[in-house]
Amino acid sequence: MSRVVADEPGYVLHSAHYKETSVILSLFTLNHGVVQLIAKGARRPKSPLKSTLQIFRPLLVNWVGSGDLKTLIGAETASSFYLNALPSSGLAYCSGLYINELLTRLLPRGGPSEEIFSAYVTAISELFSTAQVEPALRRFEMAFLRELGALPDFEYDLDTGAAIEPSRFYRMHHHAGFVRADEQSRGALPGKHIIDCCTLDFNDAGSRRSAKIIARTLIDNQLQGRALNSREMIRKLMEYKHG
Amino acid sequence: MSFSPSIVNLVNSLRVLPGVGQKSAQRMALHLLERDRSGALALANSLVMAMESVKRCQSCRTFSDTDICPLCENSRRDSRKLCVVETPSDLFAVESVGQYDGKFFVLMGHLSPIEGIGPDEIGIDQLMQRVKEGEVEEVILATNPTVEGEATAHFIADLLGSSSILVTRLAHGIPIGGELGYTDGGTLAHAFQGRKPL
Ligand SMILES: [Zn+2]
Repeated sequence: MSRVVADEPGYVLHSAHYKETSVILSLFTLNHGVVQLIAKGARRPKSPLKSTLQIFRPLLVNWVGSGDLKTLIGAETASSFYLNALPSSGLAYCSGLYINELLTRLLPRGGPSEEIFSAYVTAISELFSTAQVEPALRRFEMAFLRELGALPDFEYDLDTGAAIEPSRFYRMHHHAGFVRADEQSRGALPGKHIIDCCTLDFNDAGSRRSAKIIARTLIDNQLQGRALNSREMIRKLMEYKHG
Repeated sequence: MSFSPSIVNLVNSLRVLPGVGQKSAQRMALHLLERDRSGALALANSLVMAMESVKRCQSCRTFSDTDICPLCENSRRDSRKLCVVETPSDLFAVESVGQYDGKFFVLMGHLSPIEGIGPDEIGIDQLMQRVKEGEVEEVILATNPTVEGEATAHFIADLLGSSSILVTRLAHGIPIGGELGYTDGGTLAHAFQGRKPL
């Protein structure tokens, strides 16, 4: 018997045209992880689903089916979403697309997670309401990596077991933690930045820079050689903006 | 019922057309064979000609027989205005209104990193080059009112941010003949943001 799921909170990560009038959605849900859904007739000119099934929009979704591809039977916008305007900067959009790509590439292995869902909701609303996208991105990346079980030990030196000290320098070791390093050596990070990363404190510009390097290294390790296209997009945006 | 190999081949070929499944393809094939062989030959010819000679305009990226399309060549069009659209069919839609007298740039899509469509695929460098050449004074961003279309518009607007070029976006709002009560919230929110003094 086919199972019906009703009023499931979710966000469209990506939608692809399917045949003349339908779309296949990749939906990030609270209780079912990333689900593939077919939305029949969603591209017909008068279909109300057309405007509902947009990315970054909180939805309540109904579907039926037991296989890999479920059938959408209804979707509506959740809550007071309309009060929040869409962002007005290319960087905010690109950052949101980056998070969607991250989930698409890495989440299926992680399965459903309330923590990641809640981090996503927070990240999207932060990205769309602030000019500072980096802290929001780093907080999401760290929460996501934690749920994937991919966070290193931020508190203790892997070699000695001693607490990481703010004034000493360290380097990442096997993506598992940090060991002491020479200040001048390649990849050396100040202990303070590592501690800030642990406490998600990104007020300091140096800590933001280091957190970006740490997150990138860990994510690359998870991607195992697969590319993240949205990174290239953000790089291009920066390149044009700064000369 | 089994068809001869040529007919099977024709039916399969017809299925490349959008919206054409097995049944309609069979109907089309039999219709052409029974009633309109000369029409079918003309169609075959046009297909070969179009597929072999239509390329992308080097200036605006739309489909064209020539290196530079007639619209780009037309000196009566205002080169100071550049309208950026996602697809050639969007260009046709704007043209059919007959009100716009500027030129176009066709992205051939929108940014979609998950599908591997980034700035290079939608010709961003070419667009920036075109703008840098100096004639353009206004860039009209007419990408679709989807979130991806918005993202693409804002991406381009950000790239042009440091220049002196006027960047405008098509207004979106309530359709003519529409009713507020039946308008979806997103459209209504956009219409509110874009309200104008009377
Ligand atoms: Zn042209």
